[in-house]
Amino acid sequence: MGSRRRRSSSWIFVGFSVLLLVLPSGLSQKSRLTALAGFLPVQSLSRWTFRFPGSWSTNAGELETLRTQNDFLKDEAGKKDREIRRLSLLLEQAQGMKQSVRDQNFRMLAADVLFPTDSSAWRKSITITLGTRDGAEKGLLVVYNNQVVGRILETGPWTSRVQTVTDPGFRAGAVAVPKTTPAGISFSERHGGVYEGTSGESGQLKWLGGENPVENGAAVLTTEDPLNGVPRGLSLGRVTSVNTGRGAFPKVDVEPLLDFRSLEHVMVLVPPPDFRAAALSGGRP
Amino acid sequence: MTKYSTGKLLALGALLLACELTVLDRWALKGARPEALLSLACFAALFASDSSQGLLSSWLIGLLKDAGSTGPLGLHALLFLGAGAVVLQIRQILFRESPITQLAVTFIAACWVNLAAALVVSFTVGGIPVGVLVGKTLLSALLTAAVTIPLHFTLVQARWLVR
Repeated sequence: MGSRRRRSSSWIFVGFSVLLLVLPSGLSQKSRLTALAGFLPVQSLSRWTFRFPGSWSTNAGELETLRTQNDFLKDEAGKKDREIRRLSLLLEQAQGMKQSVRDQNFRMLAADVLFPTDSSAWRKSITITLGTRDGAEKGLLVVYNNQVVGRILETGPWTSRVQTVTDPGFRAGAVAVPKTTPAGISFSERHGGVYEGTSGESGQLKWLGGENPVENGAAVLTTEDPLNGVPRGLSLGRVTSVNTGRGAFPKVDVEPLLDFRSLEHVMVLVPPPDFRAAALSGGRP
Repeated sequence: MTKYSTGKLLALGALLLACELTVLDRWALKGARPEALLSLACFAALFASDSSQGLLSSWLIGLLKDAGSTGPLGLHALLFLGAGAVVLQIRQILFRESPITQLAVTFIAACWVNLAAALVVSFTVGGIPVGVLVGKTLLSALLTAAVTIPLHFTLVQARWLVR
């Protein structure tokens, strides 16, 4: 009797799970991102409590008042210092990016990282505090300095989920540029491949055509992909091993230069409107 | 016998989700990290007052995990439910207060959940290299088992946390 009841309640939950699994991804992701935005006050609270000590005190006596004022001013100075450091970091990122996309008129939106990882062991994503209200859109590239962090996969009103370059679903056109470029082979003449995440610590460069050799330590850079809003020359990582094996194409392991777990700020890259339109019409942007 | 309130267990689950996404990820080894929520789901199945509570708790904890994931909603709920249902079936013959039982149950559950989730990701998103799949599954299961002992001990000793 008990066993039959247990079995029937199991099937109810299985039914609910299947129902959730067939829900459109856009709908379920929005609700999940909205739920995750519930952690935003916790993040703000932790920052506030970091600044809180010293900003208040009792007003018992003039000395006490002066001490309070002193503490308050010290705290204010500390806050300003932290703000200057944060803005310097953002400026540094923006300048680093501008070198890569200076002639393409990309717009950049700064965002804080809410969660630097994904709860699933096999997916790789970060959650950022930039949603549709601030101009985030699905498919936009996210960078730190000139390193690709990933691509926005889903957007909520206040937060967005970014699929990082190590996620098995991340793919981008890429080219391996050796540390010492042989004479006569320029960046644009090198044969491109496809970079893919593996769910591990590194990614792989696949379908790398041509006779140009790939060596350990070579930089892996993006190739221009206007349809997906990817400019040329952003860094995806560094080659850590090359296995030529028996196949037609070498298997190249690529390690990202960034530790996504320690990211605090990122930049969302918004391509100019004519960037994609030019690609669709067949011309250059 | 440790009983628990499903609501309190879920609140603890939300806290553990935040830990998984921040602190525990920083302690990850070769990309594998302890699955604290799965450990909590095993606790829910081992110490439920009846099977319905065990199933509901495991399913809801899986759903919490889905909230922080890019994958399809309901996947971890389904996998945690499967693990919880098996634990509920066999718990009559287990000495559930023993740390070794808790360790073994969590290790096997972690292997099952990780392997099944990896297969779903491989089929729906993109291939995961076999080396990564096996290595990460085993390492993650070991780390989860290691986290289980202090977690279950705390929950059994500090009953006010979950009752």
